[in-house]
Amino acid sequence: MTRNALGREIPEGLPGGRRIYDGSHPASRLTGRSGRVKGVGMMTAPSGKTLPSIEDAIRASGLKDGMTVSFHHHLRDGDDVLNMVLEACSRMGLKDLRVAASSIFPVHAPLVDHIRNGVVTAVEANYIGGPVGEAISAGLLPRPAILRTHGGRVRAIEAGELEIDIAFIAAPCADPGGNLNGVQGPSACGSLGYAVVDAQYARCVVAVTDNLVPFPACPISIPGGNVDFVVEVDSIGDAAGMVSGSTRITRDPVGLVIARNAARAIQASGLLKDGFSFQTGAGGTSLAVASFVRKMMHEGRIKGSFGLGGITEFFVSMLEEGLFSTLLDTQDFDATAVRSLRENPRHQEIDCGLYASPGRKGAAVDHLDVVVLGATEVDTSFNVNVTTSSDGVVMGGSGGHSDAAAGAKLTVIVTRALRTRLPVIRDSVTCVSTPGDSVDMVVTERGTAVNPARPDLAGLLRERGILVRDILEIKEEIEALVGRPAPLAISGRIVVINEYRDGSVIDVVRQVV
Amino acid sequence: MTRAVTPSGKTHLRRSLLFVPGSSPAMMMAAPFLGADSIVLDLEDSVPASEKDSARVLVVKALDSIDFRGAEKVVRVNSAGSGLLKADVEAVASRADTILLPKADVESLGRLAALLACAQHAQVIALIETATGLEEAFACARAARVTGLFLGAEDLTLDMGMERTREGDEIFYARWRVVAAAAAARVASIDTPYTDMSDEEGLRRDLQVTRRLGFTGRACIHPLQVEIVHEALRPDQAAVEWARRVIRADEDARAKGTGAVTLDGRMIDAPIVARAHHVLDRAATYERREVRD
Repeated sequence: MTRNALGREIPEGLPGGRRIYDGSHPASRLTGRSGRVKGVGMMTAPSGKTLPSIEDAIRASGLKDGMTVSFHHHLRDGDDVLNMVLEACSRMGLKDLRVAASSIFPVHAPLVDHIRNGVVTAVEANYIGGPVGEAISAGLLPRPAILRTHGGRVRAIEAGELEIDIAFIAAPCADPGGNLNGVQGPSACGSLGYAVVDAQYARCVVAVTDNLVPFPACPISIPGGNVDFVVEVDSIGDAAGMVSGSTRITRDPVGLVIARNAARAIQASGLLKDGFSFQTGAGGTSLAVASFVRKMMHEGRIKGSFGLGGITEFFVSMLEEGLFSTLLDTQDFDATAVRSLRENPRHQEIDCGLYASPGRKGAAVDHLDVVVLGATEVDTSFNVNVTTSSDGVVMGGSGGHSDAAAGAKLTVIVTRALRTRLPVIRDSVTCVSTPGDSVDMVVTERGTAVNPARPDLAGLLRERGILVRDILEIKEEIEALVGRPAPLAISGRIVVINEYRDGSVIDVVRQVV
Repeated sequence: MTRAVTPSGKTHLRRSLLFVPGSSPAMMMAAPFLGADSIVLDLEDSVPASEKDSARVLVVKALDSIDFRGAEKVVRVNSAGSGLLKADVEAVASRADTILLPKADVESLGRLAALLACAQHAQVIALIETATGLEEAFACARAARVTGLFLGAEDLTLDMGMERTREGDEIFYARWRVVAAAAAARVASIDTPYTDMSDEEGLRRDLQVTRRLGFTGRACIHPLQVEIVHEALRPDQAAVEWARRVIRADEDARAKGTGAVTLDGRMIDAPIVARAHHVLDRAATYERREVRD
């Protein structure tokens, strides 16, 4: 057992010879591309790329026991493709598969049975919510799941650490040549930013569509040159499920006060000026911060540069009002965002590597002024947990959290200090998702805690009359109200290896007893 | 400016009275940080009938355990006609700074005063929201322990069969009457809450009426309203400057022993000087409060 730079206990000899997080900036050990770009020659079916069924595509792809299959999560909780493919694999008797999905949602609950039956024995993702997270926490997988960041997954693929055998790509629009986009059809999900990278690097790529159009599809997000087979099915999912989670501005009065205070802190930082660039999570409080920032931009006649990340109706309205010059879009959270991507040339689709990979020669997150993010827990060193709930069960993952926090000039965490009876601010988080040295401030209903590494920022906030408080003081205050959280009952068995964006192990999650 | 004095002798401004449901521990725990001068833990309208008992227990716990950071602790009990008044008052009177009595009139304030016999320091704000209460406003303001009148326009207009409008013309008389009664009795006057929580501009417009009529404070039903209320009721810089010039001119005249004084072509008499002192007093109080915040 060793301790990493954040003091987290990491067992030695983890599979894959993983590095331990040492606290250095990822840029210091960029691994670059492995050059493992897919070779020439497609696995084209005799009749062309189109195949009548997923089973046919599985056979044609050469999928065998022990291989890795990948999926994207653009349809979020409305996705049917992961379930369809694994069901077919199960019927065909395949075993020991590794599922490398960019994210896993509650809709993917059937995956639990596939794990139980040995069809799937490994899971790697950037976010795992719902029953699959609960099953992993209960120790159902024979080996630890791997959680990465959005940028870290691209880096791992390009560095050859995550080798994808077959990428199954849910395609809202496809032509027989394998050209794909996400903005047309009954299951339009907008950007295909996560799938672009899988299509470039997987040994074989199967597009699954419910909207087969004559060649050529227009626009083309993923070129047919990267796609081996196309399968038409009745439905790839329910576009309504894409709007999962909270993508509406909070109506919670306390959440709104937190949001207003966060917006004021952003203004006080001096970054809210012409050329401003901005990302928020899709949570209700984060979106409320955006609504206050939007008002400030209007009042100050500020013309921003770009909005980034998962795009919501709210960011679209800011683009259309001229508050941003462009949106850089890796995924869409609602139908308005999809419409905007389809129609507005200033709304640009980008792949996830351009969004956030630390292994490339440039990422959009590194150009960010401000990112506003949520938290399940924050510790007194400003480390943030968005991976597990406070009872230790996997219910999420970093996604772009760590990437944007590392890149932005100002990282703002918005959260209640107390969530019902649970202290959010605590001595130690259950799992570190994002290291505290990339977090500048935590805005709570009990005041704003500024990272001691940013005394300049604390001074600016105080000058504007913002209540700045020591994070320790907030922690002690809430503990006086609800007590200290009891230690979790966990076993020694590791169920998740949590990778930082550079691939090092930032923390592990142990089985809940 | 009229202020409330708590049992500990602390003086409270009552610019803003923020309502928090007594059935919501999370809201009550957050309330001290929402900037209001007075926090109203509500046992009445925001609490469903089935939760009255549990809310009373929660409010008692909140009063015992939460540091309200200097804010006035007000509890809105249930009305005299609810059958719950006695239990509410017995539970909270010794813990709260102030009891807010809904549907107040002379008779119900008398009943409350009797129930408060053991709570030596408890103050009362009378919520004027019935036609009877409005007609008895001055007597209510002078009733035992009363340190404020609070206009509740929603219930009042219902009681009087009035149409309630965004413009609020129908409550002008009630506003005027409450302010006059409170001023005559030298107690605080608190204007009715603005119920469209999403309409900040509407609140700002309506606060101009609050301010012009001389209300000392305003009720808030959303934390985001608190700051808007404080902003609107703060004496503006031009008024403060005018007051300073008036007092300077008055002092000069006294020093020179001259009689009538003029400033910018207008005569300054005793009421104008008194008004100037009032403006400066209010500005100084605000400044002290903001430094504390």
